[in-house]
Amino acid sequence: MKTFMKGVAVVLGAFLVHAALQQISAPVLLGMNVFAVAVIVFGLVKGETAGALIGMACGLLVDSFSLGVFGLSGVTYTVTGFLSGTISKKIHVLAFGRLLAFMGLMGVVNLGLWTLLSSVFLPGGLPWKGGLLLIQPLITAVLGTCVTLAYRRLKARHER
Amino acid sequence: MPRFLKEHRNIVIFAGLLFAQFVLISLQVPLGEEPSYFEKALFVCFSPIQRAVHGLVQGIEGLWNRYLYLRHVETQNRELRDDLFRLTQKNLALENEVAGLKEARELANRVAELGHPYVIAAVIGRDASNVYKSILINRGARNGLRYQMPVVDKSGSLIGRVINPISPGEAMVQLITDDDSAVGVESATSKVQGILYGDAKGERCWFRYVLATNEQVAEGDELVTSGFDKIYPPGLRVGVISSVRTDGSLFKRIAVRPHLNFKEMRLVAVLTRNSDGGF
Repeated sequence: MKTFMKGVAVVLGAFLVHAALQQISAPVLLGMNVFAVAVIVFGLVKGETAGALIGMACGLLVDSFSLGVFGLSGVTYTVTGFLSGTISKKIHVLAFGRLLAFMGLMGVVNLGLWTLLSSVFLPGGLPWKGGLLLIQPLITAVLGTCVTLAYRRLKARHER
Repeated sequence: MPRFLKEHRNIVIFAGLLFAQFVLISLQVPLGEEPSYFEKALFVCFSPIQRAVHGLVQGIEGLWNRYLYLRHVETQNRELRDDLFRLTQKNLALENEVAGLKEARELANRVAELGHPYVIAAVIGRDASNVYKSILINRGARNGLRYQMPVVDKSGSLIGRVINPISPGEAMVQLITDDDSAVGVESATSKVQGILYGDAKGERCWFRYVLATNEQVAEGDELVTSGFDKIYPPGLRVGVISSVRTDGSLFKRIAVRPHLNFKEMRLVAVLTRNSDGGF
């Protein structure tokens, strides 16, 4: 139940940040995928099932606010969240460098999967915006690492 | 089977989630672009949040633009005020310059009618002890000014003569209202001659040496230079007789209101002489 409430809070928080960024500068959203960061971090922290569930919630939320195929982002984020939880258990991501590399990898997976599904289901092509979309994994890696480190620090302080 | 599910619980859930989403995608196929109920429900639930965020961001943006950003407006306002001041001063200077040029042109046109060579000069100073005695002009020996050269105003009326000292760039002008000034004049109508003296007390002169028995001189008569003094060329307007009195002496006491206007005396023309010294 506690994890569920945290999941709801994460989805809401991500949505709020996404909406705020949308108001400030819409092109920024192409480079900064807040939902991807939330899903990857949640999968890393709470495991693959929680990651998949939160991924589904975030993905469907994204789909409900876009004109694309409903469920496309849902599948993408579900897979991303699940893989985040699964892979992070297999490779230890406590070290900063590994964590950063892991976040980058998950960012690439998320973008790659979404690109793949979009190319299949969406005839119009992707909004590359002069390559801005390509830096999304990099920003996801940096943001995801920062959020994870902040979470670990807060957790450690709380446990003390 | 239950054991398999228990051992691979995560995989099963993940597969179930994916299956559910593929079902959602499949359900959408017959609907076309029409959103499903689930999609509509999500949209209805979350769109108010987005609207609230929009309002919040707009509010913060408004607060920033209207209040916090005003420090830049203050700087901008100060710069604009400085610019306004500078431009106002520049405008005034240009207006003065235009007025000066216009006045100089009028003066040149009027003096040209007199038929004498001339030099236009600006009044740059007045007599510190008595404004009715002399003025200082911004032309001097370098501009061809010499001692005794007549000076006229923009209406072509006589106002005085160049006196010493004359520097290369400036010259002193004795006004006809100075009590030491003497100008040979005559009545434009009756041709009665005399000498015009100033009294240095105001814009007034005296027309002297007209016999008390002379009945041809009257108030309102125009006085012009006679040319007999060899200083001023004949025919320059000087002033108008304002009063004529007889006090028992040999000569009449005739007051003259000169044409020179102290308030408008900004530009003057110095009538230069020919190479032979005459006009």
